[in-house]
Amino acid sequence: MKRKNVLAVCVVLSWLGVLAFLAACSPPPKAEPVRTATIPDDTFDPAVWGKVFPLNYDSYMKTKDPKPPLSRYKKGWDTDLVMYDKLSQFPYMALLFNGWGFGVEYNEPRGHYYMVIDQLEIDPSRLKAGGACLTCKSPYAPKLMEELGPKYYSEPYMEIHAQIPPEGRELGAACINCHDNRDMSLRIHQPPLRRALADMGADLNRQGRQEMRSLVCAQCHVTYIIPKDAQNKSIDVFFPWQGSKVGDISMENIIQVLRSDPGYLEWKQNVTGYKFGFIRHPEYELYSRNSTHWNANVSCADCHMPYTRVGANKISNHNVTSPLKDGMRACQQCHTESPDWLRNQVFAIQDRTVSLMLRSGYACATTAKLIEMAHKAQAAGKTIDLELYNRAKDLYIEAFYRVIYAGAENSVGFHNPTEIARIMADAIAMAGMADGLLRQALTAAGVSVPREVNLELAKYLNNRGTKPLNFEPHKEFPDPFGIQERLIPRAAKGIQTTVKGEPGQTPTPATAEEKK
Amino acid sequence: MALSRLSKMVLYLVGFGGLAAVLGLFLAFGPPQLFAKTSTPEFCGSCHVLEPQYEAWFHAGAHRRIACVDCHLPNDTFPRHLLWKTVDGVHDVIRFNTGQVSEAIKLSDRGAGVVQENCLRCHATTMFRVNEDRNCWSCHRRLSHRLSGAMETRSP
Repeated sequence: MKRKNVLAVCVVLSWLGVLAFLAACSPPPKAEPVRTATIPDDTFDPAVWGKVFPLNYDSYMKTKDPKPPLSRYKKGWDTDLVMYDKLSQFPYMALLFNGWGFGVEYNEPRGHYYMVIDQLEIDPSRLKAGGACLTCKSPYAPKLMEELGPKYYSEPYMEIHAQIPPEGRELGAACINCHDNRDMSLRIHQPPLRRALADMGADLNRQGRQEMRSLVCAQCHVTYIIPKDAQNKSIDVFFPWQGSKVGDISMENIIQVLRSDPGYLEWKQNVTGYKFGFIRHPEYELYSRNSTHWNANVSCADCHMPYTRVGANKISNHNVTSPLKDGMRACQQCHTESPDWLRNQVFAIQDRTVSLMLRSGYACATTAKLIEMAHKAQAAGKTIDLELYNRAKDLYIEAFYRVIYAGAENSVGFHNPTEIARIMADAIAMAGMADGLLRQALTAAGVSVPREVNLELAKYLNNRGTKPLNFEPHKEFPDPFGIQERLIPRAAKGIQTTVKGEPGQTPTPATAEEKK
Repeated sequence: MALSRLSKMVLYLVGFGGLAAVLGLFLAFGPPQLFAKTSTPEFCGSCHVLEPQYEAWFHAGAHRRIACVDCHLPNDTFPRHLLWKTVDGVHDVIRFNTGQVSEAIKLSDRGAGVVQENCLRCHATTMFRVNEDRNCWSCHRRLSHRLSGAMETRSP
């Protein structure tokens, strides 16, 4: 018994010894950077945050500057100071989007600094949805939603925009969109993402830091739906991620949600008279669906905001842009090859994507024209086989959503090359099938369908909107592999011929010849 | 039948030792998962003097997929890993709590040996025909935690 007590005393004493050791000695004090100011809650003005974090602020303000023209297909706001008209780059879009804002003026965007300014400068037809348009663009949106209630979504854009305090009316994504003012940790500011994550059963509070470095971008770089009431007024903004999971938001699921409720169809396509929803910049969706970089746990910020040395400090570069326009530095954090080699890899993917975009886009446009032809025949008293027509209509709608998805995604396929190719291959197959069915129905009705359907693109490309805008041939992207011309000859496009020999405008595919 | 004092003491010691071993195994590999928890970079980074190294690793590109212990502890055999995890861990706890941490934390010679061993463990094929008398990071300088991060001065 005694021995047991001795043992117990020994154990207690040794623990006391450890505690005394810990108490008597002290670890080195933590070196805290001097805080030059504090950031009050609800501070929207980045300049106030910039007083505490000047390096981050400086790099953020660089999103205002034009970028070197190093990207082949994303010429947003480069040092050539040209705004690139997407409808001239991809003329089939003008036909497909005819009937609403995107068919009037559709530009490659500038940097974060210009988010709201771009809205104020674009053709007003693009802002018809009302205040809802501010949801991603203005950091004031959550506040306005709270203060104005349903009016926020439905009232005209300019009216809701006027509710923003004067100093913040041109402010795009700001510090407050991603950061907690107390400790700079990442946080979600815009409400729709919170709801979308909840819809997928993901707990926002349990996301790690690396996941947050993508999720803050997913506040805006995602597709969304602006549902309408019976009077066609906007009532909400939400992400069509119901039925999907984090890391597996499929194109098929998005289309299913879009087609599940007539209130989600925001506009009417003039050529076919069909009502459609729309798909906007689905960067997060495409990237997170099993792409190589996503699977390697690379976040958006790793490539678009690479860790950068500034003097004696290291910061995440807040001059968010494409790695192509930043000398491929972001890639070189992992890939040791030269910038030229890396750039060629990206272009090889993007050339193939553009080729597929043209293939699926023009296939879809041709089908739209055949649908128009069927409608005309019907109006002229011909009988169109409804079974064939309905099957074609369904396939066309499916193909069309895939075409918009590929066109709206801002990486020209790089974020997930195989997935975007799969989506466009499906679009080509569906549009081709619909094309055949419609030709069969039209022939049976006694309408002779020309071998090459004239797309009459000039009609859709010229004299657009209040400015008005016209087709700019030198901006068009030719098929990098030259196949498109064999399928739909230039004459069938109904568009004036391109000015040949414009320097620097003709992209060349990264083929074997180039490498020689 | 009374046992001698000596054998009684041995019995006590064995019993106590066995109990301690069971408790230790339970804490390390049972539900408390102390072994796994102390192997995470977050655990290493929770000690504030290692924050700069943690941050550098977090932004380090390809090597972010491996943890501190994958490079900084021997990984050839588990007993050796366990031994040095204990030794280095206790060493670091004492150094930290007695305030004996230098301003710039540097790799010791033994630590360098361990890291080099681990570089070769993964990159053996690459090194097949290369002589191994230098440390990898004498040339691949951006591997060092102090130098990681895209360099502003580097021209594209």
